[in-house]
Amino acid sequence: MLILHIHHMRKRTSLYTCRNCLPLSLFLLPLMFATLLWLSGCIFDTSSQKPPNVVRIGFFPTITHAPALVGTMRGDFEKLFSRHGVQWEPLIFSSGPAIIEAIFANRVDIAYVGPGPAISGFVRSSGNEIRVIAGCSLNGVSIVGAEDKEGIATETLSTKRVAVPSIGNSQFLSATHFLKSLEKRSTASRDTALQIIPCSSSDVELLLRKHQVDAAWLPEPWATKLVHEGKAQHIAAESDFWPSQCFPSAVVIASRRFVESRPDLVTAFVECHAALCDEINSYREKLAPLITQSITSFSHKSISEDVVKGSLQRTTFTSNPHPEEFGLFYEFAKESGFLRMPKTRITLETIFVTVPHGRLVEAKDSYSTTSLADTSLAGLERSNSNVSR
Amino acid sequence: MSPGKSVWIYRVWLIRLVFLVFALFAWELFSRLGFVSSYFLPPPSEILLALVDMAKKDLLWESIARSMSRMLIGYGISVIIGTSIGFVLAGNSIFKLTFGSLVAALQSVPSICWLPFALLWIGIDERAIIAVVVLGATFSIATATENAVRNIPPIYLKVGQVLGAKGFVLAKDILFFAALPEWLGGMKLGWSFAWRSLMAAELIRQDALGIGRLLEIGRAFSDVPMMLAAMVVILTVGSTVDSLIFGTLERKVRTVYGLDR
Repeated sequence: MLILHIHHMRKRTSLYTCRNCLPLSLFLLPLMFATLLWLSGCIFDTSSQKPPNVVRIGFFPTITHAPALVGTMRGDFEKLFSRHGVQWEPLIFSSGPAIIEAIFANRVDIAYVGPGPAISGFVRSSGNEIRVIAGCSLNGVSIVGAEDKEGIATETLSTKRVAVPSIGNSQFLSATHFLKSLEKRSTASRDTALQIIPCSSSDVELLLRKHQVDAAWLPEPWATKLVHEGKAQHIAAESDFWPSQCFPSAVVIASRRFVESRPDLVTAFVECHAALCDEINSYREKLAPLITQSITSFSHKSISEDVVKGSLQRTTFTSNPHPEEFGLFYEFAKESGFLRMPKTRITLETIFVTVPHGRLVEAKDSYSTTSLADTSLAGLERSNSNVSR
Repeated sequence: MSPGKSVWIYRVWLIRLVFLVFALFAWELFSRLGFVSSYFLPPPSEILLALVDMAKKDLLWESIARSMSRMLIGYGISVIIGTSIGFVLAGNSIFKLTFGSLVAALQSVPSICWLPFALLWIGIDERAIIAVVVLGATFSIATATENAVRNIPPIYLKVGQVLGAKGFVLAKDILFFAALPEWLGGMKLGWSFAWRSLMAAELIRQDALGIGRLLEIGRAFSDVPMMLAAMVVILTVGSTVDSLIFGTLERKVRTVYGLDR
């Protein structure tokens, strides 16, 4: 380009009108573009960026990610990784899609995330990037209504304006599915139609107060916070809508790269995570101050301990990802029409990775029914053999 | 227009087209050869597929329709308010001293900063977004109108007055036409401010389906081709209005005013 430029400076002609230069510039421009792309390839090159021996763990400062909060604050993760001779780094996120982007960009190895983003990330990467290594929390999502209005019956929710935290997230998917099917089922004449309004959790309070929505489908701690502060009333729990009365609200995912390169760390991490889940289930009251403190310090927003206690009561922690219910989120996402399927066929079963010692296989909590076991676990074991190859 | 000039324009477009095709081809090749994973930087063909998919689902058309209706309402309001403020500012020195300083200060606030207040005062609906668009464009249109009126050579007004024009006739036949070229520049600037404000508002506001929202919907589903398709839509719609409507208008005005050289 420089040569061209000098040439035209001498000849004092425009680059466009110089016949001699036209073929040259036509050749040079794509070349320049290709160089640019190559350079950007160096920037985008995700394989070389990872500093050696650092495990990066992403999570939100929220109730459903409590095992990560406790493990980080109390030093459980630190102990675990130093035992394996590696360092680790916590990364705080505020939205599921951001975590998936970080995994795509190889900036996060293990992450706590809702089923919705995990499934989108899995599908959009043609099943290549995301693996679910454990469950994290069950339930912990409630439907609340405006405080100053008379209570709304669950059955009439299909005629209301319902706020959900974000388009495409787990609450959006399940609210859309359950309310739409409720709408189809109800035969009563309706004067208002169902409206699902995505808006950020912090706007919900304003919306409820101004009666611009009738109800909100909120994860913890938002639901409990609004009820606790007297700004909303509890209508129902999302688990009431589920056939098995429970659903995963957060799972632990890892990038496929990490699962394949360090299965030992994945196994150790899942064991540590499972122990944390059990501990939080048993000692909610005792761990509430620690969780409150970590939410406050990570999110820079204060939250009362009572809200945390209430939220923890509505949430169950388990390392079982509940594949069957998780799979339903996949159906909801397809149903929503927003999730575009890749050209290659994918099966959701391959998202699950079983870790040795059967953590996943062992049905630990009262929620796991026997009906859940056979079909989905067969898938799990298959995927396990895929991973270990 | 001389024949030489038309050949020149033709050649410029040819070069642009060839460049674009080459660039897209290089991009496609770059992605296909596996330098980056396709969900990280998808090739143009996948972006096209995403675009077609959005068009099939009516998501694209509804988004464009909603965004454009917001733009038309918001921009329409700001043209009326902005032009009126501009005329008053140019004509009234007390108004200029008091309100004028406020307009200059308000112009420096990116309109998206008003969004939380719009939500609080107006509520979470269309009007809040339109308010942000109005706030984005009004002050720049007002400032441009004021300058356009102030920069009218006084001789025009004097000639008009000598020929017996006054009051409304003076404003309609002389002020308006004398200020038109510069005012049009302000209108174009106002449009691009309004467009930016709208995109920002739609990105933030989750309930507002629109062109800006397409980007966030794509993001919510980790759908990078859809995100890039949304960028293509933003770029296409923005530049089409800019060059087709305002470009044509400006060229017309320049020709009529004998300014086209």
